[in-house]
Amino acid sequence: MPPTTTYGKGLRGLALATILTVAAALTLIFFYAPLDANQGFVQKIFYIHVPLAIVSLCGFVVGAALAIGYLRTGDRKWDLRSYVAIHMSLIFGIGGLITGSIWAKASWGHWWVWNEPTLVSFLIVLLLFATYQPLRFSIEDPERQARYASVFSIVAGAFVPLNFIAVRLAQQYVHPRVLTLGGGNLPGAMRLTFLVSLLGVVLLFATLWKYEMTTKNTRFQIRRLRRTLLGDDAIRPMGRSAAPS
Amino acid sequence: MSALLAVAPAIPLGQSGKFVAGAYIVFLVLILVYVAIMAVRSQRIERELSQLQRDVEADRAERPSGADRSESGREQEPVL
Repeated sequence: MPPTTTYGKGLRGLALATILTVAAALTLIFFYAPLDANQGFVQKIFYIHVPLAIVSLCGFVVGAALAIGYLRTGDRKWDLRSYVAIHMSLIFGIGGLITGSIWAKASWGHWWVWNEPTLVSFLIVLLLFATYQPLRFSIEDPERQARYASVFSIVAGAFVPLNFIAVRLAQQYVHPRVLTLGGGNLPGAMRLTFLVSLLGVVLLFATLWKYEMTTKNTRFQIRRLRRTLLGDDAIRPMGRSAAPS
Repeated sequence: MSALLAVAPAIPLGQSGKFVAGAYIVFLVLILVYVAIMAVRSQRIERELSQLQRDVEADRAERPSGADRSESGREQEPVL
């Protein structure tokens, strides 16, 4: 990684924008958006569950795109970026899964419904990417780890849109379809609230990604500085890790 | 804030309210856990930085004084 790479630049502004947007989203959710005629107050979960799921799936695809950057250039910073994007997506995905499960219990009376394609496909994608960290951990050589993890994330990332299309083409529609490319059937106030919530979650993802990149990059820079000032003997091996080293 | 609460609709605190609260608390807890983990990592970085500073100072103290003098002397040579 070149010493000039910095990730902390603009982090404060991004964090502020995230706080303001999330605060605005929560205000809109609870004080502006009307209650759903069918589901009532429980539908408020939609504004957190759907953005979390969307951002998580997009994050997996972004992780795959960043992994292409590693395979093209061989520069380890792309591997680190891809790793952090997938790591963040897993966290957001778990959030989406739990909030969805709570919504399912409130609406359908069950925590999980196995014959619902959207739920099961999301679980498959999440479980697929859950193997990403153990895969990395199982490979000790950093170069091989980065290469294999990149190939995995590209293949798994390509699976995400394919999976999405397959679910959309499925005949059984139990899950409500309120978001379409044609604008969907959300009323104006609900759509605005949803879009602000989505923006808030996107900004949160970007902020946390940048925050983690800054932390990891700082640690690498300290190690590099230690090696420069004190020699290779002063560096303790980091040990086997799923994270790029 | 009080004006905002005054115009706010009454929040149903029945069965549905618990589920909604649960979902948003899950989101909050996830973020808090993540921030806590990152705080621990930041502490580790701070420790590593302090250790590096101590090691560099110890390394300078261990160097023979002549080496330091010759280095500083080299710095003071006029540039031609």
